[in-house]
Amino acid sequence: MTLHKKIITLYPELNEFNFSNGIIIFQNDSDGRGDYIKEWNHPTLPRPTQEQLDSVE
Amino acid sequence: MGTLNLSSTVAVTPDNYSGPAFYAYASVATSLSSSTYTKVLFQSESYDTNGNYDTSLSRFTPTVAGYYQLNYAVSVANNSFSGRLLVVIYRNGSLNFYSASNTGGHTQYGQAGAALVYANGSTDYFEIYAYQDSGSAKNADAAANPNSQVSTFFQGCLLRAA
Repeated sequence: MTLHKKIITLYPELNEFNFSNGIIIFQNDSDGRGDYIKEWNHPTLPRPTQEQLDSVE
Repeated sequence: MGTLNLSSTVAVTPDNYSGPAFYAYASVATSLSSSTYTKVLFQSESYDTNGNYDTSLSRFTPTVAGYYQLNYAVSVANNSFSGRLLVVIYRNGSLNFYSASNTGGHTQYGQAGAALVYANGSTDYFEIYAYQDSGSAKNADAAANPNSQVSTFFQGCLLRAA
């Protein structure tokens, strides 16, 4: 499951607008390390922990 | 009206006469994750006059301070593509400029942009990232050579030295 889908599973209220305008930024540097959260600036939803992300299948 | 007489020949040489210029293009497709800013790889060069473009990092780090014109384009083809495509200049690792369009469900889509940027000639560097939100990963187009049907490229040149 992609990072994006994991986040949507944890926070279904998020929409695509949140991911493209700087509120939440996923980044992939094409260096083999995959997608990661570069910035999390959501005003109310907390940045998920790695444990939360790992729990989503 | 007076007359201006020039008593000697003056050579006029623009200060950017030998400034850096490069043209890099994607020779291998980059997989663009959905809803993620993904670095677009431009692995091959057509020219790189000052050796300032690094093909291993797909990064332009000009060694002459000044104002640079950067041109870029990313195309996604042979996919059923519905969503947005944004193409972005990253400056020193962060989003600086972007251009965006809604793809409208076409099977091929591209986005191009240009910007005038200042570079300090030492630490400033520039990369291209792309964002698409089709819901699944898409490949950016690649080209076999720099002179035919190139739709994913990164170019730049010095316009004016600092």
